[in-house]
Amino acid sequence: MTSNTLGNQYALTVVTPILPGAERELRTYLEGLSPQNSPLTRLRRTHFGRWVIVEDFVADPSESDPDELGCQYLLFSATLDGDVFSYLDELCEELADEAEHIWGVCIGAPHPTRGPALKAYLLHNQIDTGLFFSAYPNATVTDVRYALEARSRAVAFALEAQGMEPAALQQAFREEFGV
Amino acid sequence: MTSVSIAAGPAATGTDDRNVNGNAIALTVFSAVKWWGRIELPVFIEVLRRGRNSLSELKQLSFIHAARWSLFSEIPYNGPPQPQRRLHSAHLYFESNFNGGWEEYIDAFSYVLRTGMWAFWGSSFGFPGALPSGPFKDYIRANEIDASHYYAAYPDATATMVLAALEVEPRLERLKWQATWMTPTEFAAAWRAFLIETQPAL
Repeated sequence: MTSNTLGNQYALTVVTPILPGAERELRTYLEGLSPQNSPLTRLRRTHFGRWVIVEDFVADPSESDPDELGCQYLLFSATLDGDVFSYLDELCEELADEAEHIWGVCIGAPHPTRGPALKAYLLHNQIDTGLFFSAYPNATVTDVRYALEARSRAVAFALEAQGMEPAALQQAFREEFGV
Repeated sequence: MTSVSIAAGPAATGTDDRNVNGNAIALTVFSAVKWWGRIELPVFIEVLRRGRNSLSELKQLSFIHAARWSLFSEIPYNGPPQPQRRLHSAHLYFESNFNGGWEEYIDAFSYVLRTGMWAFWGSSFGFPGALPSGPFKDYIRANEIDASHYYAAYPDATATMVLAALEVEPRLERLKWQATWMTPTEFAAAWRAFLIETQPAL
């Protein structure tokens, strides 16, 4: 039951056990990362990404024998473009400094926390996706950003071009869009 | 097809700030699954995956960028000191990347995916049913885990804006090409046609 891929996009989910005693340090580190200047901005194929610390399963009163995790886990998920192997190559190089603080405090992680050893560790701890939905599965991050910029410029030009004569309209359009 | 859209800013998200990046919101939910869910969920998901229009209801929820469901019954083992656990139940992981408000999102999910909601969470312990949405919201809140860090590559864009932009962009490219060889009169007509064609997306 795996469906990590939809169109051009891949749903990556990785769950790693946190070393007992390192949970608070990890939480402080992750919560201190700026969303505007996230390390994931350097992975240009990432649409969305998150790190979540899972303290334990939530037990429902109707469960006769609820599961316990036994230690806290770090969940990392990303919605990314293309194949996961080259993405993890990029992650394990580009995020090497951050990875030391993030996965370096997880049980079984390699030290130094980078390169092929980190990639193998993350793949070992991957949880496959059962069902993946994307509203625009064939669009890459680059496609989306380019399209958003194009739409924004088209809207601005449409306002500016109201009432222009054909020759002036064509000239203004060519100047605005560089054609 | 009627689409349900939500317009709200970060101030109205109704969730922890760390689940928010611009207009994008992260929802992360785990639930334990009853024994029969190990059979029902894989079958349901396989039917959805094979059906041609099976995700059309999700597409109606025009505020979702991406979502995923994973059913797992074991956790990868990395050696001590990780406790080696044999899980009694399978567990369902759900995540969503959406825009708008948390409450409105759960409401719309409940109303639009009424049948699908039962198929997804009916086998989860404690699932109160999708409607009325109040108890379901309480259930999701109880099972939700806040993100410690959340990233969105285009945080100011709603899913609707992205879809609209992806519709406009190729038409704008065609117009750019037409601008190089059309007469001014022909181009003015092409520009008007572009505006009419793309008006809903602008």
